[in-house]
Amino acid sequence: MIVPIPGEAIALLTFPGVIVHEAAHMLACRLRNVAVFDVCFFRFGNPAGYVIHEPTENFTSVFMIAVGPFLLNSLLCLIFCFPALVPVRIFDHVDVLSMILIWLGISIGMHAFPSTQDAQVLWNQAKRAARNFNPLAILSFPLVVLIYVAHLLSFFWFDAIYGFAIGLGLPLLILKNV
Amino acid sequence: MKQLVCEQCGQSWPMNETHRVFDRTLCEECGNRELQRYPEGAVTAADVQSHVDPTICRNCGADNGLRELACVAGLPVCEDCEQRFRRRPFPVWIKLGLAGLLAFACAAFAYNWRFFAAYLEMRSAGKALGEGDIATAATLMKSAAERVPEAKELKDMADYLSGIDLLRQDRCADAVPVLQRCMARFPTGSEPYRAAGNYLLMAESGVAFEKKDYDGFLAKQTELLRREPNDEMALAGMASAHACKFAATGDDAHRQEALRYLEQATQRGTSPDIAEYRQRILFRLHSREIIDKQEYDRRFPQGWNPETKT
Repeated sequence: MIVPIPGEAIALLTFPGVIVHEAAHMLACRLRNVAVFDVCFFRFGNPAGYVIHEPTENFTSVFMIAVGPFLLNSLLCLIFCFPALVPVRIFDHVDVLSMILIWLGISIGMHAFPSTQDAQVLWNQAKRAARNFNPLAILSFPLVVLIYVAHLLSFFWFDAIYGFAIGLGLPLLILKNV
Repeated sequence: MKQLVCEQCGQSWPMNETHRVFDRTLCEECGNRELQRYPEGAVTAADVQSHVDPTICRNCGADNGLRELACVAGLPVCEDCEQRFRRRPFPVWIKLGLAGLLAFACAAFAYNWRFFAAYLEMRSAGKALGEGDIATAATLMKSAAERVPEAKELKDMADYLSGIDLLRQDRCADAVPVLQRCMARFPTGSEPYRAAGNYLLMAESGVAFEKKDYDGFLAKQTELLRREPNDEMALAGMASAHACKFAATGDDAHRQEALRYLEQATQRGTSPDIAEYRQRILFRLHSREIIDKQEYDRRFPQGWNPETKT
């Protein structure tokens, strides 16, 4: 049975992920020299956080701003879950420390996917940039599709499944096969 | 600052205080008066637009004289404000929070290092086991079990490997209690339980052999063969037990049985262990002398054959 939980409640439970998501957008803006007018790292409401930045025609900037959270959140999810990986997954040893680490990691991983608004901007700009055979633009098309699919499947907790997969599944797979 | 003249009153106004109303430049007051002439809802947003002075910063209001400022998102901003927008600093709490959490993750990794070390030792033990190096596997598994005493399975596995290692060293009497402990802890019917049971039978048959209890030795080997009818070592063990009985009693039926089982073991197994075991059994049948492996190796360092002088 799928249990519907209000988005605000999920955002509150996983607030570190929201903060990291917005920080990743802002970091990408800073790296690409894009002006940021306003930032909200977390609030009670929808959206739970936002970054208002100047529009840019530079596709690399558009791509980095949109995809920044996907990369940073996934990386931090991995970093925070890793210390708890072997105790929990190999030795079934669950303690408070591991629970905190996993909560942090999964919370951050859950918010890795860019918003549909980011995907929309990326799609529009990618169509233009693809005419010049920009490889990032070509890479963006499947990515945008993935973002939309992820948002559709978020009703079935796909975002949480992704967090678990990145935090506890993938590294275990690598660890066992290295 | 730029000035514009109101097309209604003719006065000069700062550009930011004027508006474009129905394509005419009007001051605030004249503009409001003009709009009041229209019924509510007749004026659209496109009909009224504010003028933006390109020499005044929209963020801080700084006046740049008559020189136009650069635009950010279509609005003029001074250099300082542009830099503030483009290099907007992260709040201190974000920086400290992230640094703190990363430090926490590092500390947690250090705190949990024993689990990682134990896992690496487990992996190495598995590799050593695959290469047949039971002694190394047992040592590594014991070390892993000591690092993570919470993991009972590790302790069981370490005991299990240690039991097999003792068995391989022909320290059967020492192996028996270790393997018995494993049997008591492994879930009944599981694969480790079955394997430990077989090793325990081997150890017990070894103890019987050491005590020259050849009936006991034969009984244990019979049970082992019942459990593993296709195992070449079980077949060879059966041949060994019958060879002992023949050596002790001279009953030719045991000699025939020993040769029959030995033939089956040789057909199934081609390992050096089987080949060496076979020669020992043949020596026993040939000489009717029962000696342990140590003594056999001392006497026949190159292995025994019927032509070898005893």
